[in-house]
Amino acid sequence: MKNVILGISAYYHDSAAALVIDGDIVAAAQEERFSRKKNDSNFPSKAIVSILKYAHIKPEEVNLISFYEKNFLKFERLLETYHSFAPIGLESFLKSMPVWIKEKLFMKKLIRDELSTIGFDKNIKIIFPEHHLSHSASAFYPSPFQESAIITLDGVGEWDTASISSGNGHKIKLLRTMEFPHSVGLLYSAFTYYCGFKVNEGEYKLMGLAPYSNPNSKSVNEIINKIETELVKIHNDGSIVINLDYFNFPVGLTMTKDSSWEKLFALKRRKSDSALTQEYADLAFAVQKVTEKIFLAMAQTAKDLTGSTNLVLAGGVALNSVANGILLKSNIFENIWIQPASGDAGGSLGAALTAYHIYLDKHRIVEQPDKMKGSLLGIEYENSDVENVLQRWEYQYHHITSKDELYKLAARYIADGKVVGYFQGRMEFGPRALGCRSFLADSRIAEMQSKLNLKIKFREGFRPFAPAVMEEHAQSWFDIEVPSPYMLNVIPVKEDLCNPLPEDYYNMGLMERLYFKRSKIPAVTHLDYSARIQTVNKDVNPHFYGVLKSFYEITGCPVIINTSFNVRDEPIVSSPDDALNCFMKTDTDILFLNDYLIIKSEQSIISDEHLSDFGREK
Amino acid sequence: MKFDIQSISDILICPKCSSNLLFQNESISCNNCTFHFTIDEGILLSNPENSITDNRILKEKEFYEENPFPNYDELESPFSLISKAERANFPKQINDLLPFRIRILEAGCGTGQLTNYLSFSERQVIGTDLSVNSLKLGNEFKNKHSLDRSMFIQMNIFEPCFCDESFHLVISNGVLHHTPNPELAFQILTKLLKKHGYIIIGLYNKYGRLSTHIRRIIYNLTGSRLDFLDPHLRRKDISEIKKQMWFMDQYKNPHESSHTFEEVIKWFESNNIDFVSAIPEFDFGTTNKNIFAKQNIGTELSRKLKQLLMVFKRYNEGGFFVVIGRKRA
Repeated sequence: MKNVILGISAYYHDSAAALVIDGDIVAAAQEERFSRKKNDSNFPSKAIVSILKYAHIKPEEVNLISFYEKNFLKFERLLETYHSFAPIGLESFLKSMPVWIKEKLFMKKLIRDELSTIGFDKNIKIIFPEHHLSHSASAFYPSPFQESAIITLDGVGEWDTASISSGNGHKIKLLRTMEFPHSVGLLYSAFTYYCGFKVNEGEYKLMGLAPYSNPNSKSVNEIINKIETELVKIHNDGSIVINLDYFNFPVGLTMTKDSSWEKLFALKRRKSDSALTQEYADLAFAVQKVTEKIFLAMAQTAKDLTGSTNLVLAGGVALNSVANGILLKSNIFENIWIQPASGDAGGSLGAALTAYHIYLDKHRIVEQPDKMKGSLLGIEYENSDVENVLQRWEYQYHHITSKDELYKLAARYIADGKVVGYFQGRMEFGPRALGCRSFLADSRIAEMQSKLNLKIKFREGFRPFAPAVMEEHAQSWFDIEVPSPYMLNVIPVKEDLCNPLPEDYYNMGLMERLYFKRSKIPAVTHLDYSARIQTVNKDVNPHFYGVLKSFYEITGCPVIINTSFNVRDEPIVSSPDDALNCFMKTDTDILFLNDYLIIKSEQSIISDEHLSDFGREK
Repeated sequence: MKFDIQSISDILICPKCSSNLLFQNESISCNNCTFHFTIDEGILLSNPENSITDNRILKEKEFYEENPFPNYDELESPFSLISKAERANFPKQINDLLPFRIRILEAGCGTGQLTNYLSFSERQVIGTDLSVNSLKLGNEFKNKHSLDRSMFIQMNIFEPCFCDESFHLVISNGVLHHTPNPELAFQILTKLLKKHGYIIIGLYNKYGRLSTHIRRIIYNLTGSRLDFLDPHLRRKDISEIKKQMWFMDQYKNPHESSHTFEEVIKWFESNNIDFVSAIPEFDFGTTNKNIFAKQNIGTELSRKLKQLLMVFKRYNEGGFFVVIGRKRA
């Protein structure tokens, strides 16, 4: 009998489900893609139904459910924390306790009730691995390593905020943990909050803002010094102690004690809609540097504890691609592999793999380059599904019958300066679009960054974009020696492709600096000449590779911009309907929906029959 | 979808005699009379002031030429306009619920912030206003950010330059009550609407506007010294310029009328428009946030009570209400 295991993460943020059959990762998807609520934390019913349907598995065929964390431990942590701080935190305590007592504490029943509404047996077996074990499993088991050091780093799980383990075969041995409230993730989130971005969503923005700082300025070094002396003590082994005089997150409803921060940094907390100034860029840069320092120290400790030459990473902090790039360059480990769904969504996959390898004690087969299938683990749509949608809404379209022709056409449009929506095959699992639900554009056009930000993504003009490059050409364009298939490393653009900074560079305004043409691929070159690179392998992601190859044949450049197919504050598109909505919502010129080409300029005003479409939420 | 002056030639007519227009190079003139549009940086100007005889309309035009409202001072990019729309919620709500590939008229668009915002998506949005200075602000933003799905036309609402049944949606938010004959203006707008098309109108309410009227009397007697009486002017999160614009719009506007729910229901009835929804709702217990979904129209009593509540409750723009209707076949 097959071992069919469903992993679930839910009720915090970014719920997801993953299906593992006899150790093979068959499918995985985040609930937000179906509910269309960004970082949806609700039970992932829609994701479960979709991945089961994709895999032709009926609910009764699932043998085991694995939920990504132990709620009793989490509840214990909450109670102890409130108790230690009482009477401070009473307001937060009174808000959270009813939800816990009513719902979360009885998680098993809650999950069973939810599962029964989508056809599962009420008595199905459910297990609950620890949060950081789920993360560790998501990093180690799909990795290409037989044995490895494992680091997980995030905000907080039950008690743990970070862990170091060793993995060997199908065993994971926990070696060291760091406990709440001392958390690198929460430290980073506190700065995200203070700089006016949303916690659990705005961390990327903070990372993108950091390069606008002047790394050599006195003020930045002072801020770093203040962080390390006042906010957090960093031990040699990478463990940290947070100074709670400055933080409100253990029991409060906010992250920081604003008056203390104002006094320390002589800077008020930024309102989300107010201008981004140099001071906030300096704060972003400083906390990035501190994070990197902790990250490297922790990696060294993991190396010392395990003696392994391999490292795998997971947890939200592992999505800090700048820190990952630094770690890669540090050569502490010879080989590094990072779970592409490192956040809590990936916990569902880790939970399922924990169930298979630890709970059921099943052996593991290591695969190259890894077992994630390019993270293309979501669902896909048939051409007939696409055609139905196009006809229903009276779109003009062209059916492209040859894939080679499709790749060439897409590449030609990109080379002509068009923005192309690209929707092919299975949806990505994790926060990154890897070329199957992506906007693609020409990396050589400097203005493309502001066009994409302001008229496609509708977001702040400073946000950077990432390059996708044919794997075999990566070393000629970027300072990298190993593949980076999941866009999780920020590394330098090759020096000979870069232009030197003008003398008055640091006297320029933030936006002026942004528009300085730094390299031959300016639209994807960050202010510090780095790029968050995705290398594309022709066997793993043939649809995307095909476009890159054709673009290379047309232009001699193997690099294009790849950014997620969504607008600000919306999840990446999932279905053809979502893709068409997003296409029409933005200034995108061209859309490839499976084998269909839709050209914006060919569309006409809708017929009056479609007036009933008023009020349909998109 | 191509969207330029040429591409709307099928719906443009002469505002004076409703005849067809002749499109030649840069000039657009009437086939039948002496009227012609002038084009200034892409704005179609009908220069109606020469033929307007009602002094109230002229005064209103002068007021908005001097006080274009609202300005774009803090809106540097599409991102900031979108953020503003999201904070205000109502524009975002409309945007999220509208289909694509439709034609929209915003009659009385002022500086065109809503027109530009709705045009970020694939829709053809035409903003019209009497005030050239207001239109210029909207057009500057459009040109600066290459928004090629919005267009601005100077138009007197009583002399429309569009064929009947040209638009899927007509919006006139906070405009009709500044005209000398709001009911006639409404009637004209409904003609421009396609069958089954929607209309959104925002008006001052007779009851809701009471406190503003009282404050206006006080300000007229005392000058603006007692500006703290207006809750909007007490706010600390908006700039002094914005407060000044608000003060002018609310208390120094040369002409305004206010209206009841009943009046609007009558306008709807006599112009073949079905009631769809309203903000605030006409009935108690209606919670559907989809403004294009049919709401209960309530009873005379519920509507009276709802309006009385507006005296005490601070709705947007002191006593403002919005009604959405749909044209019958």
